[in-house]
Amino acid sequence: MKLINLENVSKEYNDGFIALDNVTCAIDQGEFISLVGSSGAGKSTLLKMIYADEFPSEGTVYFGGRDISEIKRKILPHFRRNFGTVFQDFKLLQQKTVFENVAYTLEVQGKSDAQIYDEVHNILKIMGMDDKSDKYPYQISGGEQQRVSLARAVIHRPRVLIADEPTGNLDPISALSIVKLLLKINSFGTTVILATHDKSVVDKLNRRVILMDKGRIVRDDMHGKYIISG
Amino acid sequence: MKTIKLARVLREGWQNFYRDKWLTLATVIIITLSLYLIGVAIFLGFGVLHVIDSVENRINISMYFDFTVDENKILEIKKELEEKSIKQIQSITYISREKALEDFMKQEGDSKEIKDALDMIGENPLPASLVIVANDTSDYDGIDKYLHQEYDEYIMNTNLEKNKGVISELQKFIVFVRNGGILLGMLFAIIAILVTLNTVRMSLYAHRKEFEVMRLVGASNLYIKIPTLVEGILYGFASALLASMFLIGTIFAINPFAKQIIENVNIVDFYGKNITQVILVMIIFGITLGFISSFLAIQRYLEK
Ligand SMILES: Nc1ncnc2c1ncn2[C@@H]1O[C@H](COP(=O)(O)OP(=O)(O)O)[C@@H](O)[C@H]1O
Ligand SMILES: [Mg+2]
Repeated sequence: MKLINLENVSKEYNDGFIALDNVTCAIDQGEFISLVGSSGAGKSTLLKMIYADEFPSEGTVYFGGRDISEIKRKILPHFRRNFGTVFQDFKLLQQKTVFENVAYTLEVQGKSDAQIYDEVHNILKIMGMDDKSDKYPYQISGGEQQRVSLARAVIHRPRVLIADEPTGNLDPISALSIVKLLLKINSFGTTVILATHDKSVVDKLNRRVILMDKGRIVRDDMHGKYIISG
Repeated sequence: MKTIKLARVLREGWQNFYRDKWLTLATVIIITLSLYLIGVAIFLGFGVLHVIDSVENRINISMYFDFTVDENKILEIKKELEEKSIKQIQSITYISREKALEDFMKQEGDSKEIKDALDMIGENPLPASLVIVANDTSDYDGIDKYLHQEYDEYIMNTNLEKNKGVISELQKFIVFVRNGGILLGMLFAIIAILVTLNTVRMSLYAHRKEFEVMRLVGASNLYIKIPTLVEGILYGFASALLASMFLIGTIFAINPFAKQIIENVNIVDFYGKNITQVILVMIIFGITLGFISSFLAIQRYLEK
């Protein structure tokens, strides 16, 4: 069994819209996967199934061989610590500084202040943001905010990094630097799932590409290019 | 939850409160207004109760004794009544014939004509009496009946008949004012509660995306909830302090006008006696309100 298995997963939202239609796929530890497809294809929904933000209407999602829908509500916050997430809109806490945003992930886990101090400055250095650790999100650029968001997503060494259109709001240069950081994170052994619109990014990667359309997986290439067919 | 986490959630709550200054300001202003409204209602209530009390204390029933009954007997009856400790009776005062005359003269302004008239009569025409104040205006009927039943042989007359109309009118008015006051106070309180609930709900709504982020990075329900409760408590506390200040300011501001309208009234003195209690009640009420409001409002943002 792989790290993540989706078996015949369908998702019907409350309003009756079917966002995922009988999706089956498996993802291995250490993979770097690009999830592509036009807007509304179901990429975000598929990702939410994996980090347990939404649950399947039908079918099963397994993480490490365990059925996600059977995880008790109280355990869910702990389960989510297997993941790091970054989004198009960064989702930084506006009332917290760069340092505090990244520290938050470790604070909720009850790590000591000394350990938090070291690890946060360490990761901010890797992301090239250590000199801005006392700034608030509105005081830094979009590319910088995304790097902070990335730092927050990986500081607790998650097994899987989920990146949902992380470059969607960024200029090409910032976007490239984010993708480079994603590759670096992947090289340390973290599984990366990247949902994106960005053709140039995907083509350069030469990694596995899953193409979605209308809630289904229509292509799954181990060394794919961004091709939308039909 | 470990102590380190407890310290952190308390700090989170404080940061929510003081970092988002505009939201905090808006929230606190609205809650302050609600609490101020309640404070005004309480103070008006105090005032009205005081007026009712003083009016009620002016009502009494006088039991006039035959001239043949001597002072010792009257004092005996007074003692008897007191010892029976009839629960409807608040106080009994003995007015001797001499005192009655003195009061009467004073009331008439020591007029020459009255003095002459009295001189002509040659003796004090006023009877001795026991002045009885009831606990409640509705008790006078019963007291009057009781007095006649027990002491009819000594009584010249009681003045209840004469006052009956006034007493029953007053009684209706007092009941009306009291019930109206209670109703109005309750209405104010309900409005304040609803406004606070909604205000806190809106201020949390402004942060709804952040709760989602907190869940995503692995924060437990408690870790999200406790800072919010702290925030609510701080809103309530700050608002209560502000509302109290405004309330005190209001009293000082209207004191000169009140003095003009009613003589011998100093509302600063009058309310000064209750001010600490009122502030305390406001703070407790504010904190409870803030706590409950955020408790209810945060519920929908937690993991179900
Ligand atoms: N909470 C929701 N309720 C109803 N419909 C939704 C919800 N979330 C997403 N959808 C719909 O599901 C479809 C797929 O959405 P999404 O997974 O976000 O697509 P993508 O990320 O590929 O753009 C879209 O048509 C969207 O409108
Ligand atoms: Mg999407």
